Amino acid sequence: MKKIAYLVSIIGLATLFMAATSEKESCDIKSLKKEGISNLNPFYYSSAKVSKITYDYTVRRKEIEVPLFKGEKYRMVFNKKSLPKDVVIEIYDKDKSHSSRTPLFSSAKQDGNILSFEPEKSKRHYVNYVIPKAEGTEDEGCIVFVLGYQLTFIDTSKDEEESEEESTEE
Amino acid sequence: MKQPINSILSLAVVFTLLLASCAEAPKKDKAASTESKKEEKADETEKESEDMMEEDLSFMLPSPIQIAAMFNRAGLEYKSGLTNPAENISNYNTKTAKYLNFGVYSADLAYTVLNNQQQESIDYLNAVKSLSDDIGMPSIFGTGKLIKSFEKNIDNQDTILRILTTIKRRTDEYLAENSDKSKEAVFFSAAWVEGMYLGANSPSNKEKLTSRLIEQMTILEDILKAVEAQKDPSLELGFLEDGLSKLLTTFNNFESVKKLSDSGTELSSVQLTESELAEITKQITALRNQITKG
Repeated sequence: MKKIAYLVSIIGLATLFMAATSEKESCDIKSLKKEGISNLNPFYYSSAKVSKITYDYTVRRKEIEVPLFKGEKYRMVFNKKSLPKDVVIEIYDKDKSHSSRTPLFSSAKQDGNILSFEPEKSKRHYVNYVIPKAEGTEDEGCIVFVLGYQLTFIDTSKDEEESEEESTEE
Repeated sequence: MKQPINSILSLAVVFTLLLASCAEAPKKDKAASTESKKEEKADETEKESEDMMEEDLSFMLPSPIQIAAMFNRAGLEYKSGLTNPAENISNYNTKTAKYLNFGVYSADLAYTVLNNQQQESIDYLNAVKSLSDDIGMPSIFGTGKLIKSFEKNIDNQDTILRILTTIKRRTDEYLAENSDKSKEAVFFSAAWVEGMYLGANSPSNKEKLTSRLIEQMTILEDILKAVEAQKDPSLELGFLEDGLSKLLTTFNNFESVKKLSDSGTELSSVQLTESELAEITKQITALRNQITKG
């Protein structure tokens, strides 16, 4: 009786552990982010957003509002490596409540898991992730979005090697 | 004897099945999913947009270093005594005060770096480090090489700004790894208030600075939402939420802002009157002083 109870506990714990670690395994946020940041250069890192992607029985859309300020230069980098099924990235000038919004970027016809976009005008942008329908059971995934900005009054060609050393020292 | 064993085994099977279904199934239950699949086939000819389920809107907060840099480029001159003195750190004994003034000192650090105030920059870096240790984020400064490198390169603005960017990135990473992302809003809101305080109280060219201040006001609603959404009940942020909310209401009720909002024009192109600007400055200063008193 005790042995059975013991076995049941072990099975339960093991299953719990597997369920808890499955997401972490599929989404190594730190390395995805690092890869995204390395594609920012010479732009300075501003911020990053990790979006968990789950597939459902309808197409879904996630929207991220990105404030960009006048006269500044920006680069957006998206890392889609941890997606079991592709997600289309679309960028608009207005939020989803505007039917007449203008599409500024779409990843639909672009290859590769790391994509970047440099807006022509620095004003509020709306990044949309168009998540396709689930086909059977799909794992979860994530997209890492890294935003970089350029300090236009500073010559960024200097010290890049040195700053890389700074950023990697722990 | 057999009955308890059977019960335990049944429970184990149910438990394992339950866990397996939790891990694999997309959000809906099986019955709903079958129904949903049938509907999908029937709706295949419909446009994709028609069966989209819209989700919540989220936003990205900008970097406080970038905000300081923008003010600097707009002509923000350095004014001695305007920043929060580094020695005030001894007044910050509560968790709330430490979190908020981590943000304040980060903004002061960027301001002094961008204005080539070397000794003050070092003092503020040490204040930020000290508060990050107190908050439980010592990892953002690594082994101390970052501070040494900061001191060594103090006359090289680009390297210093890249070091500040590294600190910001590590802070973000720490918060993400510790499922503490909502704290970013607390740090950022305080840094934003300090940046706005420095901009609004500067003796520099008001015209250029004012347009930057107004531009910053357009993200206030997002900042407020982010602060309200932060989940740590031990942080006492009621005064901050009230102050930001009052500031937002005041700004949105200015005639010039209302007119522009109605016409759908970008808010950043609004022109504030002197009295409107004075009211904004007054409220920002009051909120900032409340944050820095500890």
